[in-house]
Amino acid sequence: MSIRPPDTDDELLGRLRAGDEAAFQVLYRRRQGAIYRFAVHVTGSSAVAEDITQEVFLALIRNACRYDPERGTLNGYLFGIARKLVLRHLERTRMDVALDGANEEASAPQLAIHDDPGMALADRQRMEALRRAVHCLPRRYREVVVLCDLEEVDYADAAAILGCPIGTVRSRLHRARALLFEKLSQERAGRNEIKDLDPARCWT
Amino acid sequence: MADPVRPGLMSAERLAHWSECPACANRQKMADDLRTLAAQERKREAPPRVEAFLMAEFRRRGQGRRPMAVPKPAATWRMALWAAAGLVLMASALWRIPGQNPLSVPAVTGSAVQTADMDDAEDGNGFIPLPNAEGLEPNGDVNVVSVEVPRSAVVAAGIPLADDRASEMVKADVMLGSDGLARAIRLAN
Repeated sequence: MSIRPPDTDDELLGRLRAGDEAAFQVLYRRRQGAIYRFAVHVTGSSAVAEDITQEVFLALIRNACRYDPERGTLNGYLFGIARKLVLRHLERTRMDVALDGANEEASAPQLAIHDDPGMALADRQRMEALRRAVHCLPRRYREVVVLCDLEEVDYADAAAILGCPIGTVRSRLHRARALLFEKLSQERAGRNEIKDLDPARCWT
Repeated sequence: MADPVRPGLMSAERLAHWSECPACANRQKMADDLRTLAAQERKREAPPRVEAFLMAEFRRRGQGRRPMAVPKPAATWRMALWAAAGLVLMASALWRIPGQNPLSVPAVTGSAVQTADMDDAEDGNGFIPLPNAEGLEPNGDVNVVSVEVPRSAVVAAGIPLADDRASEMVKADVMLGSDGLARAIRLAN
């Protein structure tokens, strides 16, 4: 008995264009998670990410014919739409962010997910610190880390999504990791300083 | 150059180097953490309501209907708040416009509009029923709002008007039922 390989995105899209609801559902379930996570990480808001995910797939329902397989993968096409919506959202809220410095910190808790309960406390704290550090990166570095490191999109697709050469993706990723490392080192150093405080000096 | 975040071969030389160089070891640790974080993040997905909405939309479009304005799930409350604020503003404007106090509007009985609708003619107050609008409840509350609308919109409402200047604005009074829906229109001049 032979097992039928799963349909490719392009095959599903062909059926979707013909009005096959099941094909749309398979395609949605296959791709929605990555789009949603990308939007959550770059905007820092799960509510906005939900809206963006919905808009991306609505665009697919309405304009499935606009996707051209010769210009890239369907995954890249969907990420491209998501990125445009994310940028539009960030542009709209730019003034709020600039005026309210606490905004980033306020949105950070939405990044937390239910961690593995078996994970040691120290590991959980490290993961949380890493999540925060990713969120605090400048947008151009944040999106490349999310795409390449968290969603494992290949560099060619990332370049198409970000609209830049592959070399730029590599250099941004390199710089983003350096910034992350710096941020985490600072945080570690801060924690050690607190740990090294002489308790005899505490007045409480 | 090997990518530290993407899985690759761990050469003995690299392992030996990390044991001597804390900076490189920390970098590798961060790369491992990024991989762990990526694995953890796989659990995160859009809420099921998004899929339910999209499937309904797909079915609706499959039936050949035109897409309507799509409410965003997270924006629904924001939209409701804006709508409520708009209604409050409209109500306060009605109170402030001289002669447009809703309480001062002479009561128009539903039967008058209903008759006009059937006869396709104006009622006693000059209001012309809108096509496909529901009739007013007898003795129900009505509000009249003064608006400026393009001539083309008036023509679309079934009122005979020369459409050679379709983009020009005309003043009109719109009669709203107690549910806030437009029922009839009257040209102000």
